Amino acid sequence: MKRLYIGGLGHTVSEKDLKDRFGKFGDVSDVEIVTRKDENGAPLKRFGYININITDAEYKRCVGILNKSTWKGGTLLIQLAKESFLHRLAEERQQLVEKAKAPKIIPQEKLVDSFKAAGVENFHMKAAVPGTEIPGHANWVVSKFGRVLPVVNLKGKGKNKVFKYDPSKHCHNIKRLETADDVTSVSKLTWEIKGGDDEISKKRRGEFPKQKPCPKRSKIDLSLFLSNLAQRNAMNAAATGNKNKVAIQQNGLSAVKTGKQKSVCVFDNDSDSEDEIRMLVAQEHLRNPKQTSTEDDDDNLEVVGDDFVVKSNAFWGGVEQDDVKTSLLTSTKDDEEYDSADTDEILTRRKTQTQAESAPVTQDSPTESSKNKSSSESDEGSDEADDEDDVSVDSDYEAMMGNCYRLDLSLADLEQLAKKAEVISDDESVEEPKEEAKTPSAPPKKTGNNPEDILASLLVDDTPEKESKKKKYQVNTVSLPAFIGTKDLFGGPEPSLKRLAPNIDGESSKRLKQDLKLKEQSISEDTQSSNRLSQQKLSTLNIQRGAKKLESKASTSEDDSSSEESESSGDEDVFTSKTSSASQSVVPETELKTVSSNNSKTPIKPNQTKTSRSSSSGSSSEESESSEDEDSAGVLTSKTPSVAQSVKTISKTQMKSVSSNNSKTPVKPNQTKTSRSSSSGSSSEESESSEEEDNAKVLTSKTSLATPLARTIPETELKTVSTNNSIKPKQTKTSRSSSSDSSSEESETSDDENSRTQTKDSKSADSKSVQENVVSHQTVPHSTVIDAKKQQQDNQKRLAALEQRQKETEQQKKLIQGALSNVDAAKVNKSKHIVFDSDEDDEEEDETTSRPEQPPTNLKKSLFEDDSGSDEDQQTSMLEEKKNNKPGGSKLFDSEDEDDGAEDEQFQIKPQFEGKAGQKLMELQASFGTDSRFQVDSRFLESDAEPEDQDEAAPEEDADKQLLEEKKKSLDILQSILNTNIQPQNTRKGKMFKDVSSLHYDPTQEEHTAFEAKTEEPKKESKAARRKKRIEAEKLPEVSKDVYFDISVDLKEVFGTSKENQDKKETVSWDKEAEDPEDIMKHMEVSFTSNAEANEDTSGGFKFSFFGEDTAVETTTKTDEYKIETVKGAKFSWQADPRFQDSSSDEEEVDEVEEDQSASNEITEEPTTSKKTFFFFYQNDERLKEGPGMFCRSVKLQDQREAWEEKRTSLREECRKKHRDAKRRQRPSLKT
Amino acid sequence: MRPLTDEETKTMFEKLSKYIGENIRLLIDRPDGTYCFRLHNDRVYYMSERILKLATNISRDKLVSVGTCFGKFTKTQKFRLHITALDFLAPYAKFKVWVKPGSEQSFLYGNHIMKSGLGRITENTAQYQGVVVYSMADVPLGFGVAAKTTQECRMVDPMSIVVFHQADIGEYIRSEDTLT
Repeated sequence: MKRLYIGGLGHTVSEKDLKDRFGKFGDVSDVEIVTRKDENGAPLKRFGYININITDAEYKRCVGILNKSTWKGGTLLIQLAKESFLHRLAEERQQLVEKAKAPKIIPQEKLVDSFKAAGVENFHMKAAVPGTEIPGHANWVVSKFGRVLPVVNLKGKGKNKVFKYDPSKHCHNIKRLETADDVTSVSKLTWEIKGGDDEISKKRRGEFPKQKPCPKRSKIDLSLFLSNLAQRNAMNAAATGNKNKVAIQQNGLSAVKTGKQKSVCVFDNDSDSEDEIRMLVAQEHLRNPKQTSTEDDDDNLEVVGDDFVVKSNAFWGGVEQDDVKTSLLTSTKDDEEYDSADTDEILTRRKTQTQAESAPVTQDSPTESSKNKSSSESDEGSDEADDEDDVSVDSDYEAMMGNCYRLDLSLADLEQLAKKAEVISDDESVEEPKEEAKTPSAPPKKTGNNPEDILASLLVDDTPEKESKKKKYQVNTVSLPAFIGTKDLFGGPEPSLKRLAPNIDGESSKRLKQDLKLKEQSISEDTQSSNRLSQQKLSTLNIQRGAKKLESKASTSEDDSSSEESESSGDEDVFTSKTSSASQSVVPETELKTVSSNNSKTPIKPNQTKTSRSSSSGSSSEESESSEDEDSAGVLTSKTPSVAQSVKTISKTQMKSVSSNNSKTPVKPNQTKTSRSSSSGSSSEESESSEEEDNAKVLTSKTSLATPLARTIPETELKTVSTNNSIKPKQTKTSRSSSSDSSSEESETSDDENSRTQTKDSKSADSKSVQENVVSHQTVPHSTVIDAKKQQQDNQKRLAALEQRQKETEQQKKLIQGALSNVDAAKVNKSKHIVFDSDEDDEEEDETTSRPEQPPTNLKKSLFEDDSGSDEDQQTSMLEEKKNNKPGGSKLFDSEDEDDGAEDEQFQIKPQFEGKAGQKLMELQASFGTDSRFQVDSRFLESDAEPEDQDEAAPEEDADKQLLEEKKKSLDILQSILNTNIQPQNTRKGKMFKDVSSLHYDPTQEEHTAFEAKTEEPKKESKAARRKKRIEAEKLPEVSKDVYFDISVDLKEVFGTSKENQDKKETVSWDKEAEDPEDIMKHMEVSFTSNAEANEDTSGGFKFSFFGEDTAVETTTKTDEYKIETVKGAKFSWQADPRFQDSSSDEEEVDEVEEDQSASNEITEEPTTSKKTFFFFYQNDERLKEGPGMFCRSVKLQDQREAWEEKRTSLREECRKKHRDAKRRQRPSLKT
Repeated sequence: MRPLTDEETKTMFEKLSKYIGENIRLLIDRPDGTYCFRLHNDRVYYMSERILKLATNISRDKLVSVGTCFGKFTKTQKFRLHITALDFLAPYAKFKVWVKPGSEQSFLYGNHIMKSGLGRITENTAQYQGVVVYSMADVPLGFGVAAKTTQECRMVDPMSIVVFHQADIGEYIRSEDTLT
């Protein structure tokens, strides 16, 4: 079998052909044809391999015949080829298989056999001299004791020598070992330990008792164990009084947090055996190595850069507290660890968890093996002990919490928590019954520890024991009725109150505080409220507060209705719309007021109570509404007297509210009693008289005046009675006892109210209207109570009059509102501030706030006076003012104790009394009493005040200076300490960044004069000088042509053709600049001819360039000032850009030449003619004549052609000749 | 009540500069008015010019406190910072230390801060550098002195002290009667 390579096959040769061809020589088994192709796929070469069974002779024959024979377009090349790879592989495999099949021959056995043949038994050859070789084995020799050993060839170290180690030559080293019969195997060499049957000896012997199946541990169990552990830690800490307790608890906490799996190695003797614990630990390690690592991470402290921004200044901003709270709340969810405020919560939460988990402990323990039973029992006992410890921990915790810094959570926050707690508690309730079913012996779960639970229980009115336990440090939180008086409330901790206020909607804390205040009010009039409550049939304060919202709603709705009423009452105007708009925002505004000031707060109280009352007596309001229709008809005559009465009262009260006369009285009575008592009787009389005047003006009849007054008196009385019925028996007494007096007093107060409301207007017009509306509501129900039909007619009259007045006031209001819109805006902001201070502070603040707003009110007053135009009014107002001022002077600086806000607004400093001068004026006025005739106004206040001021100012300045010095000194010291340059403020200014781009020229600033371009105005020459100059100019001789030629050169120089010229020019120009025109003149006078010429040069040059038309002589004088500038301009522009010069130099040179030519031409001509030129060209320019010639044919076309023909032949010849020459020249060069 | 002498000013500023560095300038050189330091009963008060003038109406023996007490001079004429100055120093503090909630209380009881209670620290804090201690909720709690540098803080064991206690807001309760 041979494999042949057949090369040089033709393209047409197929495998079959090959087979046939070589089949003659032997049996062809495998034919393979390979075609090599180039990259394009065209066949390059073809060859084949064949396996053929061929003998050598046949092969020779084959090669002889077929080698190098041509066959089918190719010369064959036959060679022996290597065996095919596949074939070889197959063969090898076959061989392997055959080998495997063949029986294995072990060489050792062979050796042994051959040894045996040589007479060697068991590698021993007895009776053989050492050193004798074993026959048939070259490398084996007999050694000592007849032992047959191999000769070993050893390779020497380092060198390549091989040593032959013949053991027979070293046989004396070998010793014979005594062979013992009882040879024990190594495994049997252990010595036996004898002993009894006890465990230790058994264990020693390696007989261990059967492994107990390890008790299964659920996750709960594990966490239980850990929580137990944490508890125990906490307990220990508590016992030792260690302050690291918190930290440990935290530890336990984090354990709970991290999937309740944490590897803590603790040996507690009673509960579990060591093995179990170890097992647990190992398990944990296996389970979460990650968490341990994270724990390690926890230990790593955070390092922050210098520019770390403290996230919120909860500490600084009182206003932002809400934000802080919310942020804290949110943060409780994600990073509890970092939230200081919630640590206690977390703690308690954890505790409940542990307690929940403590149940299965006892339940679990019986399942453990019998061995552990006793331990489990002890475990139970320990658990109980744990619980006891828990209690102790609780008490300890409380003690701890008592001293803890704590953020007060608002109710809204707590509510959110409660919502969460519900979910949680649900979960717990799911769990709990199971556990309890399992272990009845387990201690009952404490529900009160969790703050959420507490809250939930609070909301459900659960037992307050746990609350009290938890919130021991919160004083007076639980029982509301215990509160008496506002002082206590203010003294008491507000957060606790906040907690208890059952706000149903989660709202802002501000709102809460408002509620609080309202509540405080209600509490402050404890007895009143109780009375009221009995009236309204509300059993508890809580319910009342809860109903407050409803009331407010009712009030708003009523406000709406009232606005409608006001419309129906016959005044369809802007004001009603205003009131309606204002009435919608009644509640919030009034509430805001409660917050902003105590003064305004008090009026609100009756408002709300009354509105509530009105809501209770809804029928009356309905009546009023029904009466609207009648009113809208515009007829004041009523069908049913009672209804009409109510209508009138409504409208009347509205009128009142508008005019703010008497209207406020119903608001007053309960609060203003002290103020009323303080107000003198004389003043009340005055006010009465003033009111009389007012009324007189309106009604113009004393009798009619009397009746309305009389009417109002009983009305107000009745009102007061009705209100006092509901409010205070004591007060009713006072009001009743002073029947007429009180009425007058009331009217007085109403007058006061007038001014007050006006001042209030300055604060906010809206609030006023609000109050008025409120008042109108209040009066509505009461007026229904009144049953005085006889007064109807008077009422009508009065109504008409009041309408008139209303219009006036409306006009006022419009004006004022326009004027005060800005002030209002400011006020809104101010009113948002929440002040927690006591009443006195509030009042003070009120004063301070109201003071700046005084001027507008004054303005309003004056307007009002103008409108009314009555001296009486003015006088009364003045009187009122005085009256107000007199007590105000004394009261302003006292802390008014009980009176309400409206009252003390009266005592605000009038604008004319502001400042020191104002004080003086006030004193002056006070000295003259209340008599208007001796009224002292600012004119009386004289100059002596001013020097006083100055005197006072002087020491102030001194003090300032001293302070400044001190500051400077301290800064110096600071500088010395810090070794840095610190300058007070000046440096800051100096360092201030100046944006150059935004720098603007401000002519008003002195510094900016630097930016001004100084225009050198040529000195105005005196007339004489000018004349002189002109004369000189006229005197100038006619310019010679040469000089004029120079001018053209000058032009060149002006445009800076060459550097030399420029330099020259510069010098000239500098000279020009330096020399004043006067000097020039002088110079000219001195050296007349030459310099004059030079002067003329420049002027002419200038003229040439720009004002070509003018004559040289005329221009010299006139254009004197331009000269300098042009020269300057040329200097700068051309100097600045030398490159430009370079580039343009060529052209200029050409120009120069041409100009030279032209100039030379023109030399012959008159110089003036050349003047008539354009910038580069002048009239009759040669170049212009040449130019067109370039474009036109000078010769005829035919002639040209002929000339060309002639030329052509000669040119051709020449060309050829040149060509030939070139060739000839080229040839020798090639040859060389 | 009198202005501080140069020596006193120097002592005090040296102390303050440990906490707020050159930011002292912001206390002296305030844009919103003139503020000054005054010594009264060995205590240094920081007050505005207005209050200073108002305080002149009160006799020296009756005056308990005016403005904000920054600290007091000891008998050895060293300056000791009071917690009342925290409000003014905390915003300008250069180096801060945040205490973990767990050891907040410990600090507020007047103890030093251990490594275990250290939640966060400003980098590059030098040893014995005055620091303002914050809670993790960024509420300033008091003053301290760094016992170790930031780098050392990383290494030390959890029970070693890293910040020495100087003053804390717990003093408002603990030394209510002496704080002015």
